[in-house]
Formats: sequence, structure tokens, C-alpha cells
Amino acid sequence: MATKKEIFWYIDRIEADTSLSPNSSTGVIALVEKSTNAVTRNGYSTEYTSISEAGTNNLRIYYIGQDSDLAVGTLTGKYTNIPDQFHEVIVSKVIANGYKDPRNMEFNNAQFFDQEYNLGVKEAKKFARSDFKTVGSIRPQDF
Amino acid sequence: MTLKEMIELVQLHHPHMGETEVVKLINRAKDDFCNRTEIVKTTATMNTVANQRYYHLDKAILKVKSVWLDSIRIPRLIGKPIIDDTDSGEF
Repeated sequence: MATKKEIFWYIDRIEADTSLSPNSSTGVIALVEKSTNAVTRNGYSTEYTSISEAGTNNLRIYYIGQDSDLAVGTLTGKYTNIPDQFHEVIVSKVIANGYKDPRNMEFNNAQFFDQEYNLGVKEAKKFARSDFKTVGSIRPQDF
Repeated sequence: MTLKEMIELVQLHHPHMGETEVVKLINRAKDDFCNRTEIVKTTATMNTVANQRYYHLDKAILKVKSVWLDSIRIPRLIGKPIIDDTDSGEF
């Protein structure tokens, strides 16, 4: 019978990833496995050691994140992880920011498009929470 | 909506803005939208190395919901181990 390994994860810190260009800070995930008195130092001991498992694409992380940036010049590109109905909300934010630009400053328009954006964000939050489920209530009915 | 359609909508209001500037602003607005709504829920895969504890996450990751190793869901550790058996310690 195969030995059952107890493996755990935790988020350790935020650190600059030097493999990225330009370097940017990313989260660091730690993977440890449990074994009895595995590490002892200065009289202290812990059951957790670094994982012994090696593999290709064997670690899968389910996360909340950001969609990839669109590249300048790729005009047919689109955000693939954000549902289509919310793309216009993003445009509202850009228009609002444009009206805050000294070249084209108009506070009323900026305020209007900011409001449009905030309403869109509210709808999107509701949509994200729903996980594509619809909810409703059953009302009693007299016949 | 494609990038072209987005640029055209923005330039209707701001014809003085160039394409590069609009794309940068669109990407920045997208980041803010994703941070505030948490609408993008997806997965990433990584390789593991024997005796390596720490792995950099993709910069697109905002919150880790669950982790699977060799198709088995692994639990989150509450707290952190008191001894780090690697060279790269905590700061």
C-alpha cells in the first residue's frame, strides 16, 4: 500500500521575482510535507520539511486573479477571462480618466462615467459571487 | 468586445488620445476592475522540484483559493513551521 503523504501549502511572503523582466513583486507559496521530528535545530524540532515531490505541471493553483494585458497593435485581441458584458464597464473607466486629463478636463463627464463604472463593478461583483447560479424564491399562490 | 472596438469607443470622447495611451489606460482599468470584482477565477499549473519549499506565484494571482498536487487537493497550513530547512529564510 502506498504511503499517504501529508502535504500542506501556505503563502509565505511577497518578494521580487528576479526571473521577470522588469522584476516585479509576486506572492511566494510554500509547500511542506509532514513527517515525525523531521528537522531539528538548536533543540527545536518541527514536523514540516520541504516537499520531496518533483514533477512537471503537477501543481495546480485555483485562484482569483487578473486577466492578461492586451498588447498594443493586436487590435483583434480581447479579454478572455472577463465576460463580454463587462468590457464596456472597463471602457467607462478609461473615458472617465480621460475627462480628468488636463487636455480634456470636464468634471461632470468624469463623474458620470465614474458612476457608470461603479455601477458596472457592482453588477460584476454580484455576477462573480453567483458562480453562474440563479436564485429565486417560491411564493405561495391561491387558486 | 475587441481591443479595436474599445479604442474606438474611447476615442469618440477623447480623439486626442493615441492608440498606445488608450491601450495602457484600458489595461490599467482592467486591473482595477479585476481587483475590485474578483471576477476572474481560473487555474495555473507549475512544476515542483524536490526539496524546494518556495515557489513564485504568477503576478496575475491575487488570492489563492485552493491548491492541488498530483490531482489531490492539499490543505492550507495554519501558521508557519518554526524551522525553515532551506537557505532562503523568511524576512
